[in-house]
Amino acid sequence: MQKFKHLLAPLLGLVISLPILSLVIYFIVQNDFGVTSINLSELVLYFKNTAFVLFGTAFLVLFLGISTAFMSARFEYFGSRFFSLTFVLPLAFPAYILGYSYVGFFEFHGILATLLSQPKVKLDILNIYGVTAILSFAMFPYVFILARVSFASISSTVVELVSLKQLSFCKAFFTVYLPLAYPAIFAGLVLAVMEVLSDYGTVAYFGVDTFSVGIFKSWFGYGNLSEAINLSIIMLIMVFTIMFAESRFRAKFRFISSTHSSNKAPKIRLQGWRNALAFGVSFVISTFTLFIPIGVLLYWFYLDFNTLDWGALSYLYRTLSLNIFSSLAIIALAFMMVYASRFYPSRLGVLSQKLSMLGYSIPGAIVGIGILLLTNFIDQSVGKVLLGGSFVALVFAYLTRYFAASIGSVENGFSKIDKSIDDATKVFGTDEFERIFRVYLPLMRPYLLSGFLILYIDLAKELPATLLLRPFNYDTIAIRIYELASNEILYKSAFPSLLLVGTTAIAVLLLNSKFVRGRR
Amino acid sequence: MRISSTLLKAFLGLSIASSFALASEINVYSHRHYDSDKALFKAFEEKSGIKVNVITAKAEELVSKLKIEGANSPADMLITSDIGNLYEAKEEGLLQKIDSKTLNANIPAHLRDNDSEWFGLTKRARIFVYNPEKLSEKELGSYLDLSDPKFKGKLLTRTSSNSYNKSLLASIIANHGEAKALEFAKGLVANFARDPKGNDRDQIKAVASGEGDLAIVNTYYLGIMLNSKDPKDVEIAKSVKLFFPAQKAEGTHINISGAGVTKYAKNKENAIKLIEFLSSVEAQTLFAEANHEYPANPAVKASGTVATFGTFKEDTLPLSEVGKYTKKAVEIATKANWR
Repeated sequence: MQKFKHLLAPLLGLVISLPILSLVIYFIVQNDFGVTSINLSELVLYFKNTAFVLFGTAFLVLFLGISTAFMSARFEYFGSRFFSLTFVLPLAFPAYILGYSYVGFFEFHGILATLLSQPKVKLDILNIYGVTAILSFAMFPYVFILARVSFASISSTVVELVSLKQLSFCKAFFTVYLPLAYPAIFAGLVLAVMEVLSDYGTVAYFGVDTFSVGIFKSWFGYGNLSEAINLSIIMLIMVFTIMFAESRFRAKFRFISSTHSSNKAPKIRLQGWRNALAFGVSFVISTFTLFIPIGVLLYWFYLDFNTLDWGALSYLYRTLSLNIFSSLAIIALAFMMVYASRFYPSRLGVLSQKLSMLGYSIPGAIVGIGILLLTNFIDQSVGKVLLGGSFVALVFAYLTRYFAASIGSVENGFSKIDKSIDDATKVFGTDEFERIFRVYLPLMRPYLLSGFLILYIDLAKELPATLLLRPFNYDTIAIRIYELASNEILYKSAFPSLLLVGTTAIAVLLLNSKFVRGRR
Repeated sequence: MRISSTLLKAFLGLSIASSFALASEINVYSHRHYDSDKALFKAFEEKSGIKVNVITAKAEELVSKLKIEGANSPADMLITSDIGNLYEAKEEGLLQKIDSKTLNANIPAHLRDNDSEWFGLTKRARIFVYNPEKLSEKELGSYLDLSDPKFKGKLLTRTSSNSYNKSLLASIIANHGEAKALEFAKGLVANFARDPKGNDRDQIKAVASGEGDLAIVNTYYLGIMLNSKDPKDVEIAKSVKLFFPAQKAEGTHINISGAGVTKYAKNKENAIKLIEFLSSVEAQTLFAEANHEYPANPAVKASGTVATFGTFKEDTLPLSEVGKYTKKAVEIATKANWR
């Protein structure tokens, strides 16, 4: 039994990465490692663009994510509760919808021009800077959600130390608070960056050729799926290398502290100009990341009002039921994985945990192909169609693609639990299940909830894997949005997009409520 | 634990049930995600009592999906919204021959496969949209003329990876040969007003705003803009003029939406019935009215917005010839730096 427990993490990692491994096996079996249709100068261009977009979004996501998380977790100011909701919501937009709405705002005869009654006023955002900004607006909530939990759990001891040492705010921020939240910030950044890497819709619309555009040029342009898989594997290897380098780096600087002490530092109530500044910064950030796009969608919704397609509500039911089930399943497995690797560690476990995160960095459609290869292989071996076209295949795809989205939060939570707690519970000799339910789950609650929230939002807008793998007649809201947007009937996509943002808002409010979070 | 195993069984059960082929059913993989199609499927269900199950996705993905699934595929029928992917599906051996007198009668020869593996259902014309204040109709001619330096800094279109541009370039290869096509592509790129980006609407808007003078777009999107609930869309679409290219040459390039029966179809008869229905006068009328497309069935006249565009001479080169050169077109576009 003990031995089996040591195998739990590696086994889980293996199962989760099976679709990716299927791609690798396909890559080897095809015995065609060439990248023939994409020439070198194109590859160089893809790398250059990808690097620019990647570093640009990383910078902006860190700036926006850390500043909002810190303000929201440490300060009380005018509107701070409201802003803690509006900082999450941009994540609910599929990035390309954010792109469309910004184009609608700035274009010729666009909304800005109408507001100013100057039809010639326009700003061309269809370029690499535009896409970098849009992707950052759409992704910064990853860092916000994860880092806020960390900043909020800083203990009063730390704060007292800071004031004893008479550190300036800047010095305290960079030398004490930021390092304490580092694992969370990094986890959020990884999510943002990997999602940027795998984005295809937005960059293609903005006319910026990144690496994923290359993947789809091979597949869609030349009908060469195996080359597209080859390129995806190159991308995987790069991401894997970076992830390993980081875990080495992190191992050198362990900042694990017992921040779980019962007396968390209270929020500081800002007064005077500080209050105004915090409000101003929050307002500007939310204007660009949320109010403008929501405004555009509301205007489109108004245009569409008499012709609204209420059928969108039926998509809502399907989206929610699939979504909640899948998110719960994935977060439970993430908890199992991190728990198993903490108490039953093995080198294999570390490796497989990294492997299980890879699905997030490659385009969802390629993950979908991995699932198709895998399920078809299983179906063929059993001699009947068991998995093909089923919900199991779809949920499996979500698991592979989004496991990374949940595990960062869970890992971060476990890193905050002092080893002495492990020892104490063991000394009292309670049964393992009891330990999990009475000690670890309660301690982990905020981290599990933020992990669930990220999953929920990510799955609600998921498109490529759902498109490829969903059972017959099972269309979700994200699919409806895509249908309308790709018919270029943009104003009609406003209603389902607003439904998506609305349900996310409800989810955030529910998860933040005392009922779910329990007493603090 | 018991609850979860029941759940699991229910879950698996659902998947097994959904893969059973009922006698009165048909499973469709379609790239056409239009509300008009949903209405047509419904009309077919009511008429025939055959249930239509649909998965929509991009055609390239559906073709790959069919290929991987092989004999296990639940799909009976594939619908794409361009010729390139239909042709690819046939080349990959994913479709089968259909013997249908109805289809042969309803669909003209150049819009269907020589081996009767696919049939065109609707047409879109790839046209010029221009700013009448900057260009006059007299200056316009064929597609090839666009490489003339007089258009320098004036032309707009989407990326070459867009399936409609791919097919257009393929048709130029088929009509005029590779060398001419490369010359055309290079000239076009040299005359671009800006790097290709955005969708067809964005090209039309760029013509209206004066960023460029002429855009290559599909009639379909102009139809959508003219019927938009957004008054700005209508205003913009009305401020530009459209021109049917190559009237004195091969004719305006058209692309099709089309359908075929998959090789491993379990409901082959039903699939043929559905394709026949979609080619009928009743269905073709709806395609034309509701979705701003040209009917493939010559017995049905263009109606609604597209009828106001006027009549034109279309390129009647068999579309299988166009399909043949699709990959070549991507190569040539890359050589010409048409991104």
